[in-house]
Amino acid sequence: MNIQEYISSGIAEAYAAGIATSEEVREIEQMMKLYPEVEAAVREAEEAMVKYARQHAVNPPPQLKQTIWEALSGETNIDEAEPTIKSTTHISLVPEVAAKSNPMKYGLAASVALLIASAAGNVWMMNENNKVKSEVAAIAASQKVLLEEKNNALAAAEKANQEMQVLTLPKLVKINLAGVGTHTDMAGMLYWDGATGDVYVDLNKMPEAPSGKQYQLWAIVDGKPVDAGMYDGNAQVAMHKMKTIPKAEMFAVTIENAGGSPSPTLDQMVVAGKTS
Amino acid sequence: MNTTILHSETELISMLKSKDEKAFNYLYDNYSGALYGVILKVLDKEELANDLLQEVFVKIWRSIEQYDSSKGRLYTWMLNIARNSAIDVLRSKSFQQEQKTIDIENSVYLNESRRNTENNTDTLGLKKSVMNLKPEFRILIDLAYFQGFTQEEISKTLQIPLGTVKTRMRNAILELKSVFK
Repeated sequence: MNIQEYISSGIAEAYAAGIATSEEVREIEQMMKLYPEVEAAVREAEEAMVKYARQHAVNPPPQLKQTIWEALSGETNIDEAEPTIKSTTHISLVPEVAAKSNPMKYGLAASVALLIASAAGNVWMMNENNKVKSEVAAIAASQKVLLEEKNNALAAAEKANQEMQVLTLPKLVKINLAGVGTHTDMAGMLYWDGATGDVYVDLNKMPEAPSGKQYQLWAIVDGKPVDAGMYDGNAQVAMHKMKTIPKAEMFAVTIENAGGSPSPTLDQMVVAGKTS
Repeated sequence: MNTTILHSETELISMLKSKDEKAFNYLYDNYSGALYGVILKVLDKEELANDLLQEVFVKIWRSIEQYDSSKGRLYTWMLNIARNSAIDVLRSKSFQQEQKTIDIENSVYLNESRRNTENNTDTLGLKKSVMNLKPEFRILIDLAYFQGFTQEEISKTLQIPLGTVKTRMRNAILELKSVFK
């Protein structure tokens, strides 16, 4: 088989996700030794699974750390209590004494037949039972995923709804914030409610502020800069509500130390836009 | 994240082999969350998960000598120990028996209540990247990784041909990779 075909069959991913059959496991472990590209494919898939698993990280209860350390440091006292669970239903069907009389023989034969039938029935029931259990587990698993999806969709819809409400305000002024000076590649949007003075900015297209820095919005009122609030940079939200500014000729955004400055650092002005 | 000095896996391995408390602290502080998360996701029962986390640390501690770095990352190795141990419990008779006594509504309710606290306290990261994964891919990965389903079981439950399970899984993981980019 062509090695690329082997890789693209999905075997590496099946291996990483833990669904490769024991035969496939043996095979791919051999192939990994022979072909570095197979090994690379497996490592990549494993890396993705590690990251996926990491996403579900939960901190264990705090007292557990001490308990576990005590168990480990007293390691020698712990016996190998590996829980091995194997279901072995062993039914002996061999009669000990050969039957002497005919009626007894038939009776025995009949009861053995019944026993076999009932044992088979049990096995069948057990299989059915397991099938149902794994189906329930699967349904529960998909339900969990779907619930998360639903909650996220609801949250997204809620956000969109709020933004829609802003956009449909009757006296809304939309202001393009254009790049200033050398920052021609930057741009943002500002929404200003002429009725209430509420200000919303959307700077999602701007690069993240350098570490330790934050974008700060200024309103220019009668030629003087007035602090209009800090931008928290949460990319999950498109419109960020800033301070209420009833009157302004212009809005501008500067890069300031995190937490904000009392007055703008003018050479750090990145975008700005006039109100009319 | 963590303020302790970041050790490379090679350093960590030799540290672990010394088996002192410093090694344990480092191991626990950096990996217990991920290991516990996997166990909890499989078993969905806090008490059991606590016990099993201890068992998993014992296994790691004991078998670190057998870990072979040419066979993959330490992280993968540890996660596999956690996952396999949890799935063993999940598939064990005693666990399944216990499950019977809990009615399904109740367990769904428990799932949801815990998930909410996770949402409140935990990782924005979970939302950002995992949520970008298509639900059908997430279900597939979760069934395989967290429920320990076989290819056949997946084929039956999701009603896809057995031959497609692997290709579907490949697509799922390819998408997972792009989500993490």
